[in-house]
Amino acid sequence: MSASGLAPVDLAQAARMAQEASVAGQALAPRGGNTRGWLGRPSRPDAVEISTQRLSGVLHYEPDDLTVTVQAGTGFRDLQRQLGAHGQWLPVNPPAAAGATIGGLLAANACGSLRGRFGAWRDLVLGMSVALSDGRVVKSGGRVVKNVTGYDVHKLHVGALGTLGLIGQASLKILPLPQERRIVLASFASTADAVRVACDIAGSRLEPAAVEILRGRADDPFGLRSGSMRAGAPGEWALAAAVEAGACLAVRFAGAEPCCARGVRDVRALVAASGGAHFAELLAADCDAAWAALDDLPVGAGAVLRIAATPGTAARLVSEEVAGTGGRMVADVVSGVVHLLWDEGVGPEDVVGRVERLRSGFGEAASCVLLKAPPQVRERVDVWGPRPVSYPLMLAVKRALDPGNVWNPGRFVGEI
Amino acid sequence: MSPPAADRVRRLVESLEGVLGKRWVFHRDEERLAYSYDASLARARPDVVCLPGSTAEVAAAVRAAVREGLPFVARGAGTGIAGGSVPVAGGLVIGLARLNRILEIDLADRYAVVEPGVVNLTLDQALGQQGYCYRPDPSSQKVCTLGGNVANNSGGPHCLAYGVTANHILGVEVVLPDGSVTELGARHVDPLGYDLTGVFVGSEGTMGIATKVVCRIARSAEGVRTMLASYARMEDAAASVSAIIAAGIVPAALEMMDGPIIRAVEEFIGAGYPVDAAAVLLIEVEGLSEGLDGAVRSIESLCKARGARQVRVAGSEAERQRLWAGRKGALGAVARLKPRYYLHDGVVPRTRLLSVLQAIADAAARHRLTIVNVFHAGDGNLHPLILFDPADADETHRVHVAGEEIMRACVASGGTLSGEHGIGLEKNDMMDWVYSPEDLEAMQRVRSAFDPEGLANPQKVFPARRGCAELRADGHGGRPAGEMWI
Ligand SMILES: Cc1cc2nc3c(=O)[nH]c(=O)nc-3n(C[C@@H](O)[C@H](O)[C@H](O)COP(=O)(O)OP(=O)(O)OC[C@H]3O[C@@H](n4cnc5c(N)ncnc54)[C@H](O)[C@@H]3O)c2cc1C
Ligand SMILES: Cc1cc2nc3c(=O)[nH]c(=O)nc-3n(C[C@H](O)[C@H](O)[C@H](O)COP(=O)(O)OP(=O)(O)OC[C@H]3O[C@@H](n4cnc5c(N)ncnc54)[C@H](O)[C@@H]3O)c2cc1C
Repeated sequence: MSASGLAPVDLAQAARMAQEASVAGQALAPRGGNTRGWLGRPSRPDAVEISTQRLSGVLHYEPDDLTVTVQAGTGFRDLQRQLGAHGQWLPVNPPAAAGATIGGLLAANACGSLRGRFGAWRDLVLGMSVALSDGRVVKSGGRVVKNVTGYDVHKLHVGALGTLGLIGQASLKILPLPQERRIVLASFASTADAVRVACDIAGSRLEPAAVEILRGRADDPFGLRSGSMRAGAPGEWALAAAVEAGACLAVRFAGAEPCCARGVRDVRALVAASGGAHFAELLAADCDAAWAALDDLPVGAGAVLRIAATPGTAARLVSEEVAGTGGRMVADVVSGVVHLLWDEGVGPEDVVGRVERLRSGFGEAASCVLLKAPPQVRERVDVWGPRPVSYPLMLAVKRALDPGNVWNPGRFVGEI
Repeated sequence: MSPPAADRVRRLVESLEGVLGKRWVFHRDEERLAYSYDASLARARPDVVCLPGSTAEVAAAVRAAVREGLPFVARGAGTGIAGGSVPVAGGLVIGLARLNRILEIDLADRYAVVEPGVVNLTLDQALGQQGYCYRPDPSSQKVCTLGGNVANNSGGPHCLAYGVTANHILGVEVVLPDGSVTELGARHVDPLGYDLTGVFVGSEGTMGIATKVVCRIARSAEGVRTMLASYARMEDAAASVSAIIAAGIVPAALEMMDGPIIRAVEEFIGAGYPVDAAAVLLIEVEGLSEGLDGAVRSIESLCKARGARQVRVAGSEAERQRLWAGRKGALGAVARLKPRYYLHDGVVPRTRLLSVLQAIADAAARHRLTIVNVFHAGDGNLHPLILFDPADADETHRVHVAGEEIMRACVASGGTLSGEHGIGLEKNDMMDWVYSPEDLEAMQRVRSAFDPEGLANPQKVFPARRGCAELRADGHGGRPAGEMWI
């Protein structure tokens, strides 16, 4: 990738740059925080980076409307800080959020385990302005919370990995900060037991913020003990201990105090009835530390496979320990999103075999995307997997919005 | 109709009869008339109507129409308020009433697969027996179809807390305008590739026909409390809405009705609203039992602090149902005040409610019209109803002018043209108030990716190119193009 990247000062300039690139047959690669430049297939070697670093800041924020309009290069954490000052937040918890931009997170559709309760990016985006490769800046949607005026073209850009245009600004739905947050941690000898309880909770009326199952390594539970992450607050130690003791169930609540208290009570009872070991119930600062640690579990240096399935399918996958799913794992049983983390010890051969077996086992019942993998793996297996049935339409959409094939060519599903 | 066109129609009828059987193909005048309208004021007759009984038959019908170069229009229950299913360009109406089976309900996987003609409430009731629900609840839910909901991205009173249709659709099987069948999305979240489901929902039938819909289902809430706050001044009610939202309480529903609506409802339905009030708020909170009392108390004190005269909490399920019956029957009650009403559907940022309500009142005064309001206040989604008598040409004209002024006020406040009813025929010529030609062109290009020939529900959503458009005034409800919808 070219060293001298572009850094437009506004979206109109970005669009002009894209138009020039289109005329010159040049490829452009949008760049946010570049925390995950490795997502998807590799960029074309001659692609020039176009950074959103100068497209940063909040454009419109009226707290009482519970909406905010930001430029794409705005840091996720910066935005949360600004909203927090007004007692509000954007209710998503993307992994590896430090340094990530709103544009990059939208493009990657990086959500997190709170999505089952609060929605994913596609549910929170109200409108967008985007630079297209024909030199135009176009918008869709708006900044009101309900809108059926024209097509929701912005939804196409969510998760498109920058292959349709450069996201310049987005209007988002936000929420008041919850009055209270709590986490219950429990530990089970068998993953199947943990899954059973997790499913009971996910299917209950308790309205948890997130229900996750974590399976770590006894010697290094997600680096929580190795000090590689943070200073090791009591909340993190509790989380580490729960992971060391077996399959760890982490249930989060966010909302009014009496509702959180009720949730915690019921979860404790369910855990006790199922023979699990109740580990800890985290409040206040301990909860904050563990909450942040859960949001940001380090993936390590190996490969990461992300499986999106129905909640029931995900639960079966986790509890039956389907071949190849051994090792470290983080499963959101509310949304059905499972991350399998394979250490460096798992050779490329083995990673390829596991991915292929899982994909053929699921067929259309799940999507299995390699978020991260060494080059030897990427050469042999498509990180995205087989093309969906609607692939011809996707290609038509790409041609409609990026006729010059300027934006991140080749990185997306089916080499779009 | 010119002879070549008549030939095309005749051939279309023949091929449809070949595939569907004569029983499900209609082309006599009175049959066409029955499919010439929806709940808007628009009227235009199709050339042919058919009622296919399977995805394959929908595909065959689409192919038959496009082979003759004739447009096709999907039709659910015809409750749309923007003229979406009115076939302005003639052609074939494909009614989906026979595709009305719930195909699958999977509680563990939290989805249901339905055919597009399934009525919204039918699905919700099927789920309700098992403690689950389908969240979006348009006021028309007793009749409107899930296919129509998908096409219009419909909302409803409870969308404040739970989101609109788009947030509850995981995937759709679609018959594309070339007659092929494809699947968008999946039964799980994050299907691979572009979010085609996301852009199909809300496309008003202009990208193809949904023949199966994968709906997300949810556990119904443990408890519910419903209350009615009444006010002597509309301003105080609007201020209460803003205060509740700003305080971080997100009720399941937060609806407003003004004085004339209250009195119409009391006269014809009797929901127990105070007839001397200038406005009432119907507020519902849902969730774990433990949280309800606290939420009710906070809302009550916020409303009182903003001047509510009284806040009444429904003491029984019967009382709660009665309060809702007033809201749900409001449109019906209003229909008795004047021969007709023109219903607008603007959205404004919630902090602008008060100023836009004032603008509506000013427009009513300026144009000597009665405008009443019943709307989804928590979302900032206004529904001003302009009452009129179509026999009075001058009044009818003033209705248009006032309606435009109201929409302008919504847009000027940072809002937009439609929150849930869609653009259809009704507001397509206002699209350039909110979008630039470039914005609209980008949308058109996306549409062309699905429908290169532009035969799926033409002349909707986008500004109509008057003149070149083959807009046909129909014999029956026939009106000049510009007044299509009144
Ligand atoms: C454990 C773990 C799990 C993860 N899970 C997921 C996951 O489930 N799903 C997932 O998708 N990601 C996942 N990620 C990665 C995600 O969280 C990234 O951190 C996020 O995309 C980073 O944003 P960024 O600003 O650094 O973007 P960058 O890394 O700079 O860019 C990311 C991509 O978006 C494009 N892009 C950036 N800005 C724009 C813009 N303004 N307009 C258009 N395109 C743009 C880039 O071209 C690039 O393709 C995971 C990461 C970790 C460590
Ligand atoms: C009294 C009343 C109250 C209402 N309340 C609400 C409300 O609270 N919220 C709200 O959002 N709306 C409301 N509406 C409007 C209307 O009910 C909705 O827009 C509804 O979704 C329309 O469904 P339908 O089956 O009647 O569709 P139709 O009116 O038949 O069609 C609507 C549009 O959808 C298209 N379409 C229908 N089926 C399909 C399909 N299978 N595939 C592709 N396109 C299709 C049509 O071509 C048309 O463009 C109300 C209407 C009335 C009359």
